[in-house]
Amino acid sequence: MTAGSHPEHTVELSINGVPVAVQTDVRSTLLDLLRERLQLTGTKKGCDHGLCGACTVNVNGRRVVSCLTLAVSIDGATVLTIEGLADGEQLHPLQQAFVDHDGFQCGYCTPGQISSAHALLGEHARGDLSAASFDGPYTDLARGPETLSTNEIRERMAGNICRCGAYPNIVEAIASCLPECGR
Amino acid sequence: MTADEAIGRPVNRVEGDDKVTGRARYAADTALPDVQYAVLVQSEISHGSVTSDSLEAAVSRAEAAPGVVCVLSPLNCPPLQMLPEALTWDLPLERRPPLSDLTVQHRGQHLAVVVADTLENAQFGASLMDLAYDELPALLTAREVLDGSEGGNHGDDRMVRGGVYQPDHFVKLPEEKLQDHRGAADEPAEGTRISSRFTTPENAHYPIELASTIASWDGDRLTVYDSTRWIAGERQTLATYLGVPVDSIRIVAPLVGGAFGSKSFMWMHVALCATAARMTGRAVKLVVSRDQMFTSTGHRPRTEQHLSLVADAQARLTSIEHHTLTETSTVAHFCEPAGLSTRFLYRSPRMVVSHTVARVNRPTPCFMRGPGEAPGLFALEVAMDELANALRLDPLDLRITNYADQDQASGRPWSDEHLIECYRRGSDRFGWEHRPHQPRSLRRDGVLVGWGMATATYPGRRMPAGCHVHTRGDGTVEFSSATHEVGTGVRTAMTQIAADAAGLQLSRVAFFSGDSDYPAAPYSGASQTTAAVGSAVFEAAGEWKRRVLEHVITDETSPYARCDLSSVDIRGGQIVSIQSAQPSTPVASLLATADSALLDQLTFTSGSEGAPEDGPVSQSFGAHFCEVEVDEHIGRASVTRWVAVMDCGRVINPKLARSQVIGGITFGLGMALMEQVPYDPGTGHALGEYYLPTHADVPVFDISFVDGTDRHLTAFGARGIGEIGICGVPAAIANAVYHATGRRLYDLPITVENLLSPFGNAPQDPTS
Repeated sequence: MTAGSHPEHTVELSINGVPVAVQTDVRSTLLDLLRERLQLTGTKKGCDHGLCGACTVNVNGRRVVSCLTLAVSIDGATVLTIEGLADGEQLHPLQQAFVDHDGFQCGYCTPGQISSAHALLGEHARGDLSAASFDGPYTDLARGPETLSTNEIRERMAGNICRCGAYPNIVEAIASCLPECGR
Repeated sequence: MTADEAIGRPVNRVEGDDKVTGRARYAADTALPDVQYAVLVQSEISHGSVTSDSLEAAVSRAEAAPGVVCVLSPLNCPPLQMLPEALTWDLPLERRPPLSDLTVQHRGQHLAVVVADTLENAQFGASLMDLAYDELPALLTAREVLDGSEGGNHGDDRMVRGGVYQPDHFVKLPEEKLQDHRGAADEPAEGTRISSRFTTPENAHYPIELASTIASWDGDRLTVYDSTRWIAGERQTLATYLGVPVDSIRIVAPLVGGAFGSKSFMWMHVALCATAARMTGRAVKLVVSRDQMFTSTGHRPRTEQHLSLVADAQARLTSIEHHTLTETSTVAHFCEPAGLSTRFLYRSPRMVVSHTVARVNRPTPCFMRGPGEAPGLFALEVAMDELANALRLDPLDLRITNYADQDQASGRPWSDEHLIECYRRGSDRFGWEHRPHQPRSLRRDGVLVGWGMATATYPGRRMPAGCHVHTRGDGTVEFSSATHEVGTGVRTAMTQIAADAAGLQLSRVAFFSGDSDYPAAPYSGASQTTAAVGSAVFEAAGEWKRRVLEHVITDETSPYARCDLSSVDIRGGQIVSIQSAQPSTPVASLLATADSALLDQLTFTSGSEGAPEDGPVSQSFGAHFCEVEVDEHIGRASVTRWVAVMDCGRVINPKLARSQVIGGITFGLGMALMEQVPYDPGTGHALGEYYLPTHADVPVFDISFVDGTDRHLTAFGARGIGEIGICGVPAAIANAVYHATGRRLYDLPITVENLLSPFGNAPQDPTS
């Protein structure tokens, strides 16, 4: 490879409802594209290896770790990041619940936690199961659990690490949103 | 607490909305035009040197790669200055400047920095840096150093030192003796004796925010955006390394994404990032990778601890000995002070504590949440559980029997101490009285259940700090200090303290941190920020109030003109007259019409002193009670229930305080059951992953605080709360595992192979 020859590619994305066409290095992850090219720095780099969940965003309605998502692999996708959850100055109920329940300390994993929780609400509404669903009544397995127990929320959020240990407060925050945000 | 008071109210974090919307800014979020990206290249051996041929060839390859601007290496790095011994003798600041020669002292030592126009190009350039080494034998464990031919302390006049040594005291605190002795020379021959050996592994702080630095020069002035929790120390250290005046450097640490003891004592990548920016003439951004965090930003070093307890027939301790062997690197000093709390936690006429540090060819360790207490109380509190068992006593009764009603180390009384109340309340809330004495007595759903407890303790500390007050015409008052919001809630707590001391509503007060342009503050560690910076804010806010009142009694147009100073006050944002029926006046209206002279008078900088050196001793205490379930078929221990009662002085914000204690316990749960940096013993190469507690691993928490107030340490009664949560936690879990299984485990972490029944022998009846 010689200077200047590294391949670039233009990707077209809808990010938080805004259409974006951006040139990107084919090696670039969605995480680095968001942070370093588009200055959407709300999404955080915690490990760059898909271990910690801090970089979680929603792509086409599903949660992904953006550090393991090559930007060029999602050309044409709809991306929702932490910056796109609030309605102007009006916080999303999940965001308000995280503030009220003290669902964070340093706040660095928080965008990933909230993005994960936001997708979790959608997954629950869709009837998706988790490993914890198999501990509940068998009727849950057909259509998904009607409500989410604390253990269900813990299991479904287990991919997002919080080193400050705000876990119980995060679970309370999510549980408080289930009646109005769930199905 | 009155209705007007902000202290004691469970208010939300002042930066909460920023943190849930992605607006919150951390160092790596700083956008600078034309920033370049740096990637570190590190040694893959533990001891020896990189060959100059291979380094020259690697640098040539990387320099030819697309987008690479510069490769900083020992071949071209401008010499960095050595730190004075005054900085390195008691803190883990490295004596050896980075890239100073081709020698390697530990795996993961920085050998080069590749700077490029994009992150991808910098990473590709760094991937071309294959290096060859001349290897030397490496000493990788304290035992190897102790048993080796060069065991004695040597090289004290050099940057690179070897052997073992015994530091006299902890950091700059001569009274916190690392080698200490009380009472008779020999251990008593009579009594019940417990003697056990404990080991704790290397732990990583693992803050989710990676260590991140952006350095930008404007002529001779350097601005560094950094994820640091010690702005003042970093500024001084960096100025020394670079050989520039301290006041030519500005450090900005907007918000810090967790630290837990790391992100301080200035790690080498910061100096290299600043050097690369100076060499290239453009801003450079360097984010340490998760792998590199294990070798380049500190860790909790391994310990081997020997603990002996002797008790008489009445279960009173007659002797306590605690000997710690731990490790530091060959290029920096650090001693994990595991035995400090053994000197005073239980009453004992005889006490011997020692600490021995071995210099190994491994990266530099540093403070980590509960430094000393976390590994030390694991040993002490498990040994107390063993002793209770040997005496056929309840473990809680043994502790109450040996309660120390004053600080035996100094002979001085405690300033504000409620340990017995912590024990009693925790025991009641947990239902400890229903605990069967015999292990393996409790079962639930086919698994074993065990209950364990431990005492927690951590010193109340306070160093000098400064605070600036800025009064704005819109009626708000801004306080600032070069402290750091690492997630502890300092901005919220400081806002509450300022509001009460100034007599203002919370909404009229703001607190700013994270910039060396603000007055200096100590490192955010040792659980001292609330006491240290809080005292500076409290005094500044009190002075602000005095100046406002002084103004209104001397201003002839004021309704309070010629009142006595003691007859007026500011409460809830209103100037009030205490004696007369004079109506109150909002401070906001006074400020709205204030001329610039008055606003200037109400804008000033002040400071507060460190903790008083005499008088009673400020020390926090607490009691942990927990339940674990152990499934011996799959070797799994799960912590299901936790009761903690803490004695930390006055609680500024109960919501945030509860979060802090839960976080500390979760940290300790990881230390007990998961966390270790695993190395290949022969090569020192890291193996496998570092496991941390997740959502699915934590128990149900019941956290409460006794109603204390420590007026000796601070005017507002607080001590500190960051560290005490973890203290005693690994012991409480190990004791509960013993109660569940009958297995006494002395080595952390307690993992699957310790608990599986098919592979271990069936546990013996421990009392037979």
